[in-house]
Amino acid sequence: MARIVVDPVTRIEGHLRIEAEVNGGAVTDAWSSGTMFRGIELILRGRDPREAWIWTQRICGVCTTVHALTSVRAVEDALGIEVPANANLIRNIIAASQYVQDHVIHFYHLHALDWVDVTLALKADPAKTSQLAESISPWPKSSRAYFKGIQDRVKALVESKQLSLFSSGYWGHPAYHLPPEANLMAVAHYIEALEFQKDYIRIHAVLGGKNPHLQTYLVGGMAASMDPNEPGATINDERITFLAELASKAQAFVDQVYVPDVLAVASFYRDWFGRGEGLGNFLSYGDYPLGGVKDSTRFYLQRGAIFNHDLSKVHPVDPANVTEYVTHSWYQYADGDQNAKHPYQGETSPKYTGPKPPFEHLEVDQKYSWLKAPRYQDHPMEVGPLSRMLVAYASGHSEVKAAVDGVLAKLNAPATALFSTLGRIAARAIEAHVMAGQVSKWVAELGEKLGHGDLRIHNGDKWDPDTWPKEAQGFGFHEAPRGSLGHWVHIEDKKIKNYQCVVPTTWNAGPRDAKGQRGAYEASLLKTPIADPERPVEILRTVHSFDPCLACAVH
Amino acid sequence: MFPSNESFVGALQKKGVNRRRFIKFCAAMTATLALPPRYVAQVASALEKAKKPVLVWLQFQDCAGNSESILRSSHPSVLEVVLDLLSWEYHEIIMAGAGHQAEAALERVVKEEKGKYLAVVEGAIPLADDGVYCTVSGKTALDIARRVCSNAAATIAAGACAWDGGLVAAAPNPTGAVGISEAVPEAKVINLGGCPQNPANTAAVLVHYLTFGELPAVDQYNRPLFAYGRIIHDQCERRAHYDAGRYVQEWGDEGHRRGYCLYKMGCKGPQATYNCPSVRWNDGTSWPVKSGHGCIACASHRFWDTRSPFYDRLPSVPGFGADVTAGQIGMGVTAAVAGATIVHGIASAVRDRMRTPPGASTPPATRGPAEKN
Amino acid sequence: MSDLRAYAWSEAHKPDPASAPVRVYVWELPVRVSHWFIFLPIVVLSFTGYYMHNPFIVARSSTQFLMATMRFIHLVSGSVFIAAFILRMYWFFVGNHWSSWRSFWPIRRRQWRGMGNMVAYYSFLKKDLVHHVGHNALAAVTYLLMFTLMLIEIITGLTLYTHVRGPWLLAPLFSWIPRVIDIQNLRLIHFCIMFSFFAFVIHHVYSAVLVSWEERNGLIESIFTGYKFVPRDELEEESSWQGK
Ligand code: HEM
Ligand code: HEM
Ligand code: NFV
Ligand code: SF4
Ligand code: SF4
Ligand code: F3S
Ligand SMILES: [Mg+2]
Repeated sequence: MARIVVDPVTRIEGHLRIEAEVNGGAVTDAWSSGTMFRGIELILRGRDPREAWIWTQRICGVCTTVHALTSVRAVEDALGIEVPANANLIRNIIAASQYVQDHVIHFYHLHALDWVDVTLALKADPAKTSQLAESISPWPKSSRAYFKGIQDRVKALVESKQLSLFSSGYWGHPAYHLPPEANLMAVAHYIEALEFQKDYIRIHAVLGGKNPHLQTYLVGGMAASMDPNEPGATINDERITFLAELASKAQAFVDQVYVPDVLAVASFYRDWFGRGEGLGNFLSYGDYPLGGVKDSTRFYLQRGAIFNHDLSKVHPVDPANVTEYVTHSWYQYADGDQNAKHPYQGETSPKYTGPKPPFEHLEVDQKYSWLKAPRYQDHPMEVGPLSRMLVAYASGHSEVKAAVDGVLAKLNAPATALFSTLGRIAARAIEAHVMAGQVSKWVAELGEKLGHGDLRIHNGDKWDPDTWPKEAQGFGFHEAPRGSLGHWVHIEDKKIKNYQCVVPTTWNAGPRDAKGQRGAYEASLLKTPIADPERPVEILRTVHSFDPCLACAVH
Repeated sequence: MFPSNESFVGALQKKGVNRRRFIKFCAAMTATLALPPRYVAQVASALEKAKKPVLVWLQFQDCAGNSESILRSSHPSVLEVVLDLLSWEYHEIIMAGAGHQAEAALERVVKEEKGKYLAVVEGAIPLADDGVYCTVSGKTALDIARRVCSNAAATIAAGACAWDGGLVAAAPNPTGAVGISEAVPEAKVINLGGCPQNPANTAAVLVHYLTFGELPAVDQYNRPLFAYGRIIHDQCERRAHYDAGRYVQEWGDEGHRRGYCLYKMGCKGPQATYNCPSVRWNDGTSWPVKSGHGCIACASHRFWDTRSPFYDRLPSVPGFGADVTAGQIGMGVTAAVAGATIVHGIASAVRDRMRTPPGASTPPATRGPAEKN
Repeated sequence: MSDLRAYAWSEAHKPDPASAPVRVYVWELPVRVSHWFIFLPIVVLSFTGYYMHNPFIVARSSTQFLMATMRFIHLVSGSVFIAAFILRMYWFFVGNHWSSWRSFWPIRRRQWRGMGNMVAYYSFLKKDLVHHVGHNALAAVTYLLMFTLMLIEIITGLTLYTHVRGPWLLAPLFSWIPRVIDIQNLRLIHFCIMFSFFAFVIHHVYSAVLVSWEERNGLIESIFTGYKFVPRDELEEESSWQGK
């Protein structure tokens, strides 16, 4: 029996520590711990609710924008504000392009090196790599010379003995199964994806001034002014053309590079369709309102919950059933740490009781994480692209259903294969495909509205705090790239009285609750085979498949 | 990604970056650094000769926004050049290794490159409660920062959090967070404020360091003058509207559509120094004010507390609520004094009726002296 | 200056009965000039300053330079204000007894008593006013306070000016200030002091009117002409302690 510690878990956002018991070559128990706390919920108190989004956006710079959106929605809910259709559309474009951005970066720069051995790319035959690439995709950059150039760069890097970011990888680990040609292709696309992400995200720069941390939201709408003919307007005809161009380039990249790569990698790692299964409970708040946020029947991605892998039934979701435990978290609740609290009653009172640093191990039978443990109707839930795609699939979403069935057919796998480490990766790619298409559609729709002279971007009725009631509370939600995100705000005397965020990675990476139920990471790591406890790449594979974001999770 | 014993241009050419593009990059860097054009050649030749110095990037109480910002570097293939200029040995968000292997990589740099490597810090460092609010591999952020930054040739504080504690240190600063200079006073630090910092400036600082072997000139906050020396308001494309008195008055109104000045919507451009209007963001695509929202002065000292509330012109008055503006208080005081005066006036008039005014019987008749002086 | 009677009237014009008011030359020209060249710029500075704070008039045409003009006027009138202020500061040291800095500092028991009297008078506890040739002691400390606030207003104004203009001639003098007090707080101070002027002027004008009217002493005219009418016994009294 051995205790494996992975800290820092790298190629994620934030400070995650995994401790695992390994017996007979497999994980028998696991604990997930977030080791950084800032107290943003406390810092928000007493501030102007209209600017809460500027603050909460800084919860995370990777999934930038998502806390901003959730925050304005929470305050709008509290004050009863409906935003104009244009604002809703702009928000959808920003959020959907964030999916594409996040998912591409996740696959290539955060996750690929768990499956791709960069050093093996040296052994590849560039001609065969070219053949492989052309057999799976029409992507133009696929010549022998192109891959030869990439290979030379890798060679130069390895020979220099200064491997930079690649210096400490698990190269040569027996769990790497890709043939050299696939490794070389992946390295080439790693580099292309770096270029892609910085070009593509200019969508956010146009609409929000910059990325990360867009500066464009408003309680009541958006600050991106619209006018077809004014060069000084944020959105005019010229910018629509530019946005459309970026959006269609992204569709090409996702469909011709990202999705084929995922399929290629998956086909060499089919074992992982049977590993990392996890909880079997999936939650999605649903998102992308096509009408108002109140009308969840008109969300592009549906709201719903799935329990015990049962895709035949999608349960309705009521945010009133969300609670958080701190039984194993470094916080205390005024009325005892065994209780769960709804975020409107939420408390954030940090109290560290762990070992004094520097330490070897956490006291995992007591409190061991800065994450709280969110539960839905007292069930631990998995959230994220997989949950969303499953809920959409089970609810009969036509585009999602077509994409999922297509991928499953190509991989010759049943729908149940999705409950796995690879399932999460596939779901993310499917979502990127579907949403990249939506970005194009929504940009076109925005262009039409502009053409029709519909220029309203903000509802200013409640901009002046003097129009507010003495007290109000509201809930804002968003399906962020990593899953269901909720902000709960309590406003009193025009100021924030209490603010609680329950975040995707809090759901997935959270610790046990009062009943000892594991969180999603902890559950999914069970039974993971470990070939070499000194180099536990298998743990990284499953944990990374969730795309962890610890700055989000703890905030 | 090229051998350290090769000349830089050779290496660049090998990977398809041609001389012209390289010189263009050098020119862009020279311009960002506000150096006269004659320096282009010097920058280029320094970079050509450069061996790869080692860089480590530490993340503490951060949001990774500054890391993401670096990933968006977009002057002529800055990312490639930056990756190629330096051996980026440790950066949790993107490095291949994890756990012990990652720790070992950092430790190796500190030991083998002592005094020669560059450190970048992102995020604040909590000092309260023995630093338990941020640990990596069981060690506190403070311990790691002390060890890594005090042995580095120079430390770059990337973003507000690393500079002055940023958002994490905003009132009530629940974790006792501070910036790197305060946490490790012996470190040689250059501060790149911003939330996040603009990658064009970070690249320029690195290039300056590689070219001249030293950090660029700094202001009183140890921020490079080339990026933080000028007020946003003075470089803003909406400035002519400000001077003319044309303002956005409501979000989405005609003025907003025409790109009028955002002063009345709380823009802090007049209270902010940074080079956003000139370098802009994301490959020069835009910057916050251009896209329609006011600046929040994200590169100013302790801006979260000093520049908020972000939709009001001035900070709130201590002792009054966040929603009461100084103007309201001032008007209130003025009105109260006026009211009290009226009441007093009436009361005095009543009193006056009840007494004999002085000198009523003897009208003033006496002359004073001729004016002196 | 020890015998103020010599100041107040000449041999040729011997005063009448002891109780009759005497016309006294109190406010010398520089005092009057600085008073009005402080007052007028404050009116202009307040208007333009408030506009800078909250541009309540919004230009429609492209030929107006409203804000730029307001800022220009603010700076020009600010300069006049500073000049008048300096003049008055100078006169603190060379002016007559009533304008000397000494008569502003409440250092004498008598001044404290005078202040008590004034408070009692204002709060209707005392019916009659005790006359003063110069300022009453309460007014004097208020003026002192106002002069201090003016100084702060000037310092913050010049600091803001240095800040918005970037490093300039004044930089060595003022650019250290924003490092100690954040520039936004300096603005806030600069802004709030404006309201203290508003409050002061209301009270100041009111009490001047009140006292002039109730006491028939020509107070208001005095700040134009320099002359006040003072009961002889008051003059005698003041002369008796003055210089000791
Ligand atoms: C009684 C005297 C004064 C009053 C009532 C006054 C009032 C004001 C007000 C209300 C503001 C706007 C504050 C804000 O919201 O930013 C302002 C700004 C300013 N004042 Fe004054 N001020 C006075 C004297 C001065 C003086 C003597 C100077 C010196 C040159 C000065 C220079 C400035 C400057 C430079 C600004 C800032 C302009 C900007 O932010 O662009 N002020 N003043
Ligand atoms: C911003 C506006 C004003 C300020 C800051 C101000 C300030 C002062 C000061 C400092 C003095 C003392 C004179 C000295 O020793 O220099 C004074 C005296 C006087 N002021 Fe003003 N003043 C203002 C406006 C006015 C106005 C509008 C009037 C018109 C009625 C007025 C009437 C007087 C009179 C009658 C005196 C002599 C009062 C006395 O003997 O105490 N003042 N003022
Ligand atoms: N977990 C998380 Fe986030 C996301 N997506 C947000 O709410 O990553 Ni930074
Ligand atoms: S400075 Fe801003 S962007 Fe950088 S880590 Fe802090 S909150 Fe994130
Ligand atoms: S938008 Fe902001 S920075 Fe630009 S001119 Fe107006 S106040 Fe200045
Ligand atoms: S908010 Fe920051 S990004 Fe620039 S425009 Fe203002 S300094
Ligand atoms: Mg929370």
